[in-house]
Amino acid sequence: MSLAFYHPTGGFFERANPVSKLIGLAAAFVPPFFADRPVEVLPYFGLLFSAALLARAGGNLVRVYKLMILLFVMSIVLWSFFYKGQTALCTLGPLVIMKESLLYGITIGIRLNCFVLAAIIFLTSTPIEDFTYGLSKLGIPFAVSFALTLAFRLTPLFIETGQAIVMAQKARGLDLDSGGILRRIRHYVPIIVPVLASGLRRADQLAVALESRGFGKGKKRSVVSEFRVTWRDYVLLSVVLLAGALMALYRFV
Amino acid sequence: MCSLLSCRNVSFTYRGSRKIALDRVDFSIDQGEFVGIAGATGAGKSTLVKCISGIVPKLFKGQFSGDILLRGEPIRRRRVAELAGTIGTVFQDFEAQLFSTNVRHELAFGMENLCIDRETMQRRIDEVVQVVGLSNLIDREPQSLSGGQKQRLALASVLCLNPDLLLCDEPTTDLDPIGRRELLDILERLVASGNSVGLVEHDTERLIRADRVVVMGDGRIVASGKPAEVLSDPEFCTYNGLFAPQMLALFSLLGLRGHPLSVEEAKEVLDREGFVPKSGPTGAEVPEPGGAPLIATEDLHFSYTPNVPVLRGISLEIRQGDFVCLLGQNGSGKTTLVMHFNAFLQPGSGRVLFKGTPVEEIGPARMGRRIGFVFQNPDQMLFAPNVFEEVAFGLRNYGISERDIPQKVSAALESVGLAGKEEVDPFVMTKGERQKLAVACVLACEPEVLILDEPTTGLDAQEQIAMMDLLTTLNRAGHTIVIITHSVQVAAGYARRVVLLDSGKIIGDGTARGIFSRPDLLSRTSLIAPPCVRLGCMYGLSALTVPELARSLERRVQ
Repeated sequence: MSLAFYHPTGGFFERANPVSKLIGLAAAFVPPFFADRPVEVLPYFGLLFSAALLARAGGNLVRVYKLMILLFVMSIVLWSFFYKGQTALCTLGPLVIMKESLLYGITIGIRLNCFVLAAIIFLTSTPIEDFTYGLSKLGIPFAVSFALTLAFRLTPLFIETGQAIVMAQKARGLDLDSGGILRRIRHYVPIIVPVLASGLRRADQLAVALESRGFGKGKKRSVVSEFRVTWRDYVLLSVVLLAGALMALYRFV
Repeated sequence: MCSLLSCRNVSFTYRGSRKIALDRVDFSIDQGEFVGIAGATGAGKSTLVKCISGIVPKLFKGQFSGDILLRGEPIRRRRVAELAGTIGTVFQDFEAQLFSTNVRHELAFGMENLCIDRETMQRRIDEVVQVVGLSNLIDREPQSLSGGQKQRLALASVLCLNPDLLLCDEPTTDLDPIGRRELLDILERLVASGNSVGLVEHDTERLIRADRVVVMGDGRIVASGKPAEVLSDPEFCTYNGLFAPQMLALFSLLGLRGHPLSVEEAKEVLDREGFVPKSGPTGAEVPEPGGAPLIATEDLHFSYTPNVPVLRGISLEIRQGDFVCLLGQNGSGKTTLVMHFNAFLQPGSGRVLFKGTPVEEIGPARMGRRIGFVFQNPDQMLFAPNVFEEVAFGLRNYGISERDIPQKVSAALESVGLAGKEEVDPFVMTKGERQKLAVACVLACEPEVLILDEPTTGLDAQEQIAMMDLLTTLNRAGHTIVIITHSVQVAAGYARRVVLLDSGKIIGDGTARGIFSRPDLLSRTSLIAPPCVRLGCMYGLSALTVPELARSLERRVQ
């Protein structure tokens, strides 16, 4: 089983140019800010959700749905406290829930989930190498863009190592699920120490392996994949811009 | 002939270390030469390789002196990345060298850095995947490949740069015999086409194929010359952490001259010298222990992903006092099988019983006291600030009273030969010591069965012998031992019972002698019997070790 987000489909998003995908991703973060009510942001959420299905990101969505629900619930709870409203909706003990606060919380929750969806579409359809290429085309030095994308390369490996270590310690009788919170935190020491140690060792070895394959030899670099600008890029960017423009119009006019 | 690369009077001490890693080393490799580098753990082999590729002293800092010349030019001022197109290095830990989305990108990475044009990249990728046999896996994710494939990919990613000198630092430790042979074939083809290869390797049966072997000890070069001559003295080999090539060891025991490298060569000389098998049995047959059954699996099936079966109907019984060796090639299901013994994995179908009770009823937490696991990589379990705490960890988990702990810890350390090291930090120990510590940690909890996954991988000859002697002693003291290995030498030399696995099925189960006397069984897997076993078979003998074979051959009286 692969723990990486990217999985090859050969579909629309995968074949779009990495540069326009990155621009599209950045642009896709803007429209939700034009919306103040759930009804305004929901269509955009729907658009992104259908795009995610088109990108066959379903598997990745299943992996992050808990995060999405958490974001949604947290923003409702937080904004119910901090956003001042006028219309009382109901009371929970000493708390008065205001209609405006609740609606605002829901809007922000959906807005955050829009960001998650956009990012998932991008990660599902973009190999790390294309990601790095896109960033360097946008003017970021290769060493920096490589370092940025390294996190995405290494996370799955860290998870795998972590799983192996958990198993090794469980075999020594480590019980992760009992006791109070302090006890439980202490229980994670035998996991965290080997994970960090192996992470540091791995980083060391990776640095050596990268350099001996010529990493950072010169400023110029060639790229094995060929990227062209096609109709896909125009469609992708137009759809994002159109959605943004419609939402801005609705908001300001 | 002008040397491609030469080291002159090179010394190096790692920063923060008191021990000198390289001590006035003179070393050279010619164009088109295949040089093997051998020696015990800590002899300075890896440091030498790192010096040649410029990693020492540029990435690993320390006290460096001496000169390294590439075609007569000092490399001192050149960065590691600048040398990449000329000197390629494949490192021991192949996992850490792979970081790309698919095989194609992994291969392209180095060439992209050297700014090679796209057409050339495509052509070299196509060529190299042919050479290493990864053509049909070009779009696969490196992490999804098998150990052997990853190793070949790590090699291929360096080959794409077309280096004049290829350095390989123990590239075959995790490979089964066929995988090793394939890797060596690739290296030999490279040498044949004019490249130079430096290979760090502890398996002398492989080193004998090199043009020249350099043996290192304590940071110095202690011998250099033709493999057959350098490696012909078994005592010298053992002293330097190597197993002597078996045919050379046999000749030394029989008092014969000559340096045969292959089984066929040895047979020819032995026939000429008039050696025949003695009559009578080869060696004392170890009786099967008739203890009570401890672990039993019944028609066990398992798969990680649907439609890719890993275990296909395993029925196995392990008895009290057994010394079982699960032998099989990479990916044959050995580790997956033992993971079921502790209820770490749930069977797809079939049952796993411990003393008649299904293990999932006992649960992984409580099974830990009954079956002790030593995983392949000790670094995945060691975390404590000192040896005492490390061993006490398991005891505390099982609720042993603090009063009894010191005594149990000392007993466990005593039995693995680490007595008196209670205060040492596990992270500064050698791999061999860490492995022993891992055994002590498990042993302290007094399990009924001890399972070890590849206990000899990455250890040199002396450390391997120490580890296997330790297990033999524990077994004699009544412990039931199960080891997983792809080393036929280990299985032949130590196991009482060998269970041969292939693609998730048991294809052979019996005494080591019984299994190794049937070449048809081994040939169904990608394993090869040790040379002495193969030579024995030609005489109709079932000898498992070199001394055994030497004892059962005699000169015909004329």
